Amino acid sequence: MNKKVLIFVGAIFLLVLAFGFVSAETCCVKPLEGKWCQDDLPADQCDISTPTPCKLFKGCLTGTGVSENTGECSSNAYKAETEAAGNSWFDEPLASVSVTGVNVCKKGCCFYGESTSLLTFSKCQAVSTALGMRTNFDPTITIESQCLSLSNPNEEVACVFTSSLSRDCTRTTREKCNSLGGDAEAGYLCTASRLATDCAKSGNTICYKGKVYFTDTCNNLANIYDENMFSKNSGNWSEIQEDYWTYIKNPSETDCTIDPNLAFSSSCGNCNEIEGTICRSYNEAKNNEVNSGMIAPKNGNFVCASMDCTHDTNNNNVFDIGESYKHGESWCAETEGIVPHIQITNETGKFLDNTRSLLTNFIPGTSKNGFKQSFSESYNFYNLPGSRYVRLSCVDGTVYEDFCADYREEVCMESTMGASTDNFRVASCVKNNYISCGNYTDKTSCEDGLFCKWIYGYRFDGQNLNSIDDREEEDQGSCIPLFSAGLKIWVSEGEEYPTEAICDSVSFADAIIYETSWTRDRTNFPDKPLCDTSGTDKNFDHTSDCSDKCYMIPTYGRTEAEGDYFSLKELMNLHKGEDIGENLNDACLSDRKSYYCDGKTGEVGGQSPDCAGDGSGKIMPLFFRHDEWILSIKDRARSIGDCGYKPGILMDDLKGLNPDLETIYAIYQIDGGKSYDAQKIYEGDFSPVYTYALA
Amino acid sequence: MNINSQKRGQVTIFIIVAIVIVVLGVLLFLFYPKISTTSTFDVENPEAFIQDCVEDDLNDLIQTLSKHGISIDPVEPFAWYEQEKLQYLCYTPNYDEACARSPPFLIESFQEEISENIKPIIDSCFESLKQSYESKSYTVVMKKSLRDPKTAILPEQINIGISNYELTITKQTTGKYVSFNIILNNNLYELLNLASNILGDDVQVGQADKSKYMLENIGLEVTGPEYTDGTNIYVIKDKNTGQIFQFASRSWVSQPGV
Repeated sequence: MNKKVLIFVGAIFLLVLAFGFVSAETCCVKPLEGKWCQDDLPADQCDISTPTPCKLFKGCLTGTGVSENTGECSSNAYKAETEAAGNSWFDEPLASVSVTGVNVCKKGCCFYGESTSLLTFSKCQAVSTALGMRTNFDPTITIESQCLSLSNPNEEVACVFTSSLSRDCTRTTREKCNSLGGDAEAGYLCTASRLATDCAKSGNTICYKGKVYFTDTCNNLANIYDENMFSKNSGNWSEIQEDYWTYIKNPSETDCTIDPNLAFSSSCGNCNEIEGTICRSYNEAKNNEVNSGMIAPKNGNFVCASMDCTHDTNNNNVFDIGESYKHGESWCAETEGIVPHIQITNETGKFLDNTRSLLTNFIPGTSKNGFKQSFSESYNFYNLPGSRYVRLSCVDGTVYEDFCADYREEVCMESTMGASTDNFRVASCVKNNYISCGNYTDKTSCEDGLFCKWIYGYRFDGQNLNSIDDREEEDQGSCIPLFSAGLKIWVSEGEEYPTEAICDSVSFADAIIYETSWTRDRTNFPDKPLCDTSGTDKNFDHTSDCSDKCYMIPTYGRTEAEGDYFSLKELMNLHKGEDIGENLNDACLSDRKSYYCDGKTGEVGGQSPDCAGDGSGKIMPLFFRHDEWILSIKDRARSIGDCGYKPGILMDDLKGLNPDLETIYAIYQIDGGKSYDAQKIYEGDFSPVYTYALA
Repeated sequence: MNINSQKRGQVTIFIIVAIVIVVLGVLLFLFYPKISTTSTFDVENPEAFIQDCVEDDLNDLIQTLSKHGISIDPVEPFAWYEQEKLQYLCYTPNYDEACARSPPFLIESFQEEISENIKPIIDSCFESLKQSYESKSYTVVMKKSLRDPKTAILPEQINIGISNYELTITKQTTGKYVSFNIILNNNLYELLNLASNILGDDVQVGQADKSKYMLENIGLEVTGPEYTDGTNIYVIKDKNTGQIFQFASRSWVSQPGV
């Protein structure tokens, strides 16, 4: 052999931590107090126990319980606990429990007295029995609003009580009126002139079933409030107004409506919860920003208030356009360290066309302390340790927060309903199914769902599937979590950290091979420059003599040591035998034929490796440049979970974050000869650290 | 001059009388509720006395039980929320597993807790009733059996049936009372019903959609955090009355990073 080969190994270690579990043997079926079916409860706290784990004991099976007393149905109830109180237990799902042919746990409309409720059959039966009534249940009505609208179906009357001194009147049902001994005047209000009661029209109002109603001077309910239907000047009353105070009108017969553009009204009391208005006192309504334009009602103190909300979602201390939310709408909060407003389609549940591209090409945002602006890569902005997705919803004028599962086990995603610009927003906490990413070995299937992304580079099986002509972007890479999940980095006493194994899965060791002449003194090779494009050593620097996996050498792919990188396309063409525009040993590139061509040795000695152009080219390397390699392994490590040198959301600066969490070491070894101590060539930072001095 | 000074004296007396009337009026106004309350002991209606006597303590009891997830003092496992212990009404200590509902029936358990804890309050009220009659020179014979009071939590009301006291009251005539009913207007049934639906969701998917339930029940508010260990705290509040029912649950918790 006229050539000698030096082998240098760059081993990459990325962060690590771990955990463990505990199991049980004895089951306390009935404790003296507390939960039934507890494993390993001390004997002195247990009334009945069995020497097997609870999951193997029949009494600790879970199924559907039905209470004999209250009619309650309970899913996942313990058999022993349910039956101990004399209740029934069924080894089947709640929805299919049937007693004498009746699906007792299915909800329907329950009628009792003048009321209705959406209850299960068994509950309806229990309530009716307790109230001394016959069970009246309609299983065909399963919508609550429909059931409630059937309450008080009895005819309403003006119930008049005549005495020598007065004619009192109460609005009630005919049945009640008869029991009270009054004269029932069907369909009339107590203010009807022909009844000549003591109750007069008034401008007073109250809230009743979410709408604003007039009341008379006896505090009886009149019809829905309409400011045009009352006048303080009794001489001005029109026939329509008189009529309004004579007959009981169904809300649907009320003429006044609420301007949909305003979504509130102080002149019409016909509020509609489905359309987002509800009866509120004027002062209460004014507390909500969306009702700020409302004027005081002419009569009484109640108005139809908007149930919509405003919320400073982007935390800039002003209500921007788009920060008004309809009653019932939900959206994702912009909490620290998460990806805000991930858009999916309502129909398919997949990302909108540009969402994935936004997710993988983040535009750096700003933060209060400006800290994150100093990071250049997306993974330093989003899905950071400690961050958590939060869903917001607007209900009845109030914005509520719902925290998605911690450790980013859930991700908040948004979609819209409707085709106009005035779309209704719906958000939900979606289970972050990052576990599935391990099942995919190609880009298309990896990125078909919502939770994984494809990172070109190393495969988990270690193969290089690139060809002589091209890089296999489709198959050459790793499928990893798109929303990196959190890892538990603290444990209870006795537990082990599980993090180590997870982060280890993206750690690896690889070898760069150098080729040099047998006449060279190799012992001082580690002291040689990484790239020398001007000095006398330019034919004995790291980049020039590299023969395989050269991308691991810092500076590899640059035009000169401190210069710009060549484009990936230029370098791919170089590997196909094309001209790079300057001599290879004048750039931070390998000038060994063995790097470009199979079975060749020696120096290229020009601007292109001609050998690669005649069909004997080598399989394309995984990476063409050092920065490409660093970016790929860094993204892969930081995306797998809370691995790597990644700031937490509560950190104001990088102090306290250990750079060793993300470190690259190199071990130099002469083929068949001396080896040197491991040297750190990179540690977690946002610019590489190169240390080559021998220990 | 004398006539004038007599007139001035009369005016002064009128002013003093007027001031006294106003002061009496103010005092009557200020103390009217108490006066009214103390005068409501209707010897013909001992049930009303018991209702009045029990009501406040019953409300306090319901509030205490509601604050801790149907328990006076929760035992393990429980969760902490705003310095209060909350009983888990559905719980599993494991990951990726549905919780088991224990106790299985909320209304039934709540009824049992009320029946158990209301007993000393009822006993004390019957003692007060007896003393009230005796202070009015009635002869009272009060017999007590071991039967527990029976609680029924129903839509918009709570009924407590007391049948362990037999009261014979004698003055000129004799009256005998063997059962007493306490009726409390209360939305606990609605709160527990909603809690039961939420727990059903927790069994199925690990966490209920709180805003969905608020949209379906506009008068009710469902809030509460989810803790890092996967525990869900639910606080159900009747916005009109301020009544709350709160509890904890833990179900289908994913193990971080696995």
